[in-house]
Amino acid sequence: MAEKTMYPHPNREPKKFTAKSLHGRTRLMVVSYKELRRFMNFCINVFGWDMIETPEAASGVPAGDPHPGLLVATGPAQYDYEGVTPGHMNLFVHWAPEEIEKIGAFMEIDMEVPLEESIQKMLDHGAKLILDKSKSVLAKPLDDSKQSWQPHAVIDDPAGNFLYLWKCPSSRTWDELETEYDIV
Amino acid sequence: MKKIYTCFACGFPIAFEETEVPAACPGCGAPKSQFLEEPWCGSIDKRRIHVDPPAVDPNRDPFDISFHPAKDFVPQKGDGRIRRWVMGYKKGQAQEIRSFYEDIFGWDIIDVEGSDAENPMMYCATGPGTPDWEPRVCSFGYGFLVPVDENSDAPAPSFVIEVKSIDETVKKAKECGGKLIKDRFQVIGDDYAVIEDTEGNKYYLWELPNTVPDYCIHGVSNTGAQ
Repeated sequence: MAEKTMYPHPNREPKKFTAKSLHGRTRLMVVSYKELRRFMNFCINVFGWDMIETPEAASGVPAGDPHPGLLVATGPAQYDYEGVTPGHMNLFVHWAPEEIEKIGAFMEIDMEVPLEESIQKMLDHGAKLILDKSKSVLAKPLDDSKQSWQPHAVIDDPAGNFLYLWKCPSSRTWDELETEYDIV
Repeated sequence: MKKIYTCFACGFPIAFEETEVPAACPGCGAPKSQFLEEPWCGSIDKRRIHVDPPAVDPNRDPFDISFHPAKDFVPQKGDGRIRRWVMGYKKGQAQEIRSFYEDIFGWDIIDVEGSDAENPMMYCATGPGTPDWEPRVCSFGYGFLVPVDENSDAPAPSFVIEVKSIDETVKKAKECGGKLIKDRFQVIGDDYAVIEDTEGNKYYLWELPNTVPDYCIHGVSNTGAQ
């Protein structure tokens, strides 16, 4: 009988991800804050993180708003706050007007598949689409009609974890560092 | 007419019909007056205008969140990087949650040594990886699916931050208004702790005192996509 593959001493490499797609990659972590300056002080002085205001196109929050979104680099980053070296995730941060929201993964979904089709597969496997903004201010109805850099849907997985799903617009050039995939 | 627009402020390229150009750059928020335009040539990756990103200013006020390239992280030697995500599942639900992520998202999922066979801690590869199961491409991460105990002080969902010293990090966290939630404990031979930030978010700390990533030895130029 074959030996079972276990972490941290696996007996094989991970599978090859050969599709020209970033579908399923956990790209960032999503956290929320109540008080901006207090949160920033913690991030900067405890972990040495660096951050910019998330552009309105990605946050939906107008520039200069007192409760901005933040893109936070936790390690070496490209000009657009994508990581530049493998092995770490950066943060997508938003203000929570009520209670702090569940931490979750900002996951990429297939940019060539209609949003509704991708979401329906998840619902068929026991997930739920979150529309209640009191659970997440990022929750919204599905809309695949225009280019958007904002999260496209908030999903509750079968275990109750929130997934913040993003479908990349057609601006991707495929020469970005983060778009590499496995060639067999 | 469709054109390619490259932001002079940050270098981000987009392609749009002239009538649908966004008012600001999706990459940095600069107004569209900063866009350099060229004709659509059939593919955005065949564009001829490329803009060097601005230089890093080491003396920048860290509380200034206007657009700027990220600082040089090499001197931190990996300290502060978010290395893993953590999500929970209810005991008895292992197969359901495993098949959700394998079938829908194509992950490669293996059990963690020493965990309960019926309700294992699972380690998940979500994209291209190295032979020792670390991500080999930038800007995404791997993580753990963990069986959740009611009333546990080990949070799920959360994420794991690499630190050089748990004691030093906890000290700084307390000085900045955070709390120690779970003191030093071991998982598969490594030391972890759990802290809470000023907002109530809980994070795992993972002590890796002697591990220095390759980029800290052979520094990378940290701006510019290619």
